[in-house]
Amino acid sequence: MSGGMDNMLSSRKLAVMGKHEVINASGSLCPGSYFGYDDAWTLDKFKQRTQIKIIRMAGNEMEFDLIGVEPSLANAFRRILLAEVPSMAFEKVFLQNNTSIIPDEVLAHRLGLIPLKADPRLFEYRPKDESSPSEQDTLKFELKVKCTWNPNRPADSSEPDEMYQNHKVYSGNLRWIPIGSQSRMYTAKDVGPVEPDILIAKLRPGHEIDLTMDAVKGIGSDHAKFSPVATAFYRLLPQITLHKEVVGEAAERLQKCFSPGVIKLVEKKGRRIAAVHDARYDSCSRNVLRYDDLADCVSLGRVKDHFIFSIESVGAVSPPSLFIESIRALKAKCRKFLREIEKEA
Amino acid sequence: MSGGTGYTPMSPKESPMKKDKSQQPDDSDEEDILSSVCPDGLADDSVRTFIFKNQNHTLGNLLRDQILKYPEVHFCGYSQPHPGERVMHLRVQTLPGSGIPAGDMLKKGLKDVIAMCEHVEDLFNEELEKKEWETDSSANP
Repeated sequence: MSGGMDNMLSSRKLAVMGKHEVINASGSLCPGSYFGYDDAWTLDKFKQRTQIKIIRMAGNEMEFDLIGVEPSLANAFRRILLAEVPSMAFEKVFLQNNTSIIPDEVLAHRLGLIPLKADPRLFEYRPKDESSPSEQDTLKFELKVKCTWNPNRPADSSEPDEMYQNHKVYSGNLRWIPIGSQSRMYTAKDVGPVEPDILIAKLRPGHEIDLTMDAVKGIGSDHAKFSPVATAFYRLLPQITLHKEVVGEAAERLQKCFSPGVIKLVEKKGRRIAAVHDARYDSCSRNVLRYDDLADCVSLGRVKDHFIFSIESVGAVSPPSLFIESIRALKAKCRKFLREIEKEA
Repeated sequence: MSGGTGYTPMSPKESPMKKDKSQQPDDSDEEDILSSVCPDGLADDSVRTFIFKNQNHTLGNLLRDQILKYPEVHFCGYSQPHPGERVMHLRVQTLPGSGIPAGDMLKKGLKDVIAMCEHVEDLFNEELEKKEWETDSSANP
């Protein structure tokens, strides 16, 4: 009785990884595509099957499991994190002097990519009419660096660090200029660059950079510098099933086919038997399928509705807050269109 | 809903090639963000193509996927007709003879997406309160 029903169950749940192909990769379950299943959507069913488990949170990184949702929803959150959750970045650079070897436009581009600590939720978008910057929508910074010979340099030195002063321009050289009452609300540490040691330019004696710039709030679909995440991605939970007992040399070979920690060897009556320990962090290389004797013992799959979601923040907003922002952005977008329909109806 | 008689290409005037800053998320004062057309010769409103301005696969695929899960829906699909135009088309067709307006399905789709978001947000906040996660920087062996 293991035929039809089992296959159907696993094809609904699992994407099967074969040697040269992935079977059942498509994710959506629509009413009518599986005989005998009621796949009509209801909110109660959605609530029943959806789970979230936060696995790891360290520094700017977070990993959590989003279980029971459709790929389209997980993908919407991912795309919104990359392109629609706002952050602050330099948008306008006003150059007073630039005698370095970096062209103005290249320098401006490099400055734009510096991640800022400023929390975008505390700021407004700058109005379209390009009115003068206000304390609600702009952060002003200046960068003034002049490279000189080091008067105390050793006569025979050829080391730039000994010969010159200020020959490396770092993000730490940026100075924040508060507008209006900003100085009472924030400190330079709250709004400045996330890291002080990002190299912006290299100078030689006589070179000088003198500029001011405006950081504004924006979104990643306008320019990648506004993206609040370094990466946001998901992968499906791997599933490895052993059908037969794999013993001795074959068991060790099997273990080597997977990522470390995935397969364990259990000692039983003096024999070493392979068992699945934790499939979660397998790289899904499918190396095992290259051995004809092992390929028959194992089946590889991925759980189609178990998303292992990873978010790495650039540093301004913590990863869990970013995920919540992405949910809210999606809600706001839907509400906007709902209002529009109801207005027209 | 503004029921046109067919698809008319965008006039150059409203071409998104000119710089508009209106794609920012909380910008609601933009006119005509959503419109709809129905195919030639069809008088009933069970077939509609909805035209979303400043939207892409994020919302297109999500709404298509959601609306396809309703038994009353005969067909649903989306496209981004040209990558240079910030426009997404969503076509919804309800079962022939059912008399259900396609717009109702879109409305239901949007409402259900909002409900899903709210549930996911609640679950995530509950998890945050539990504080049961690992904190070492490389749990990945």
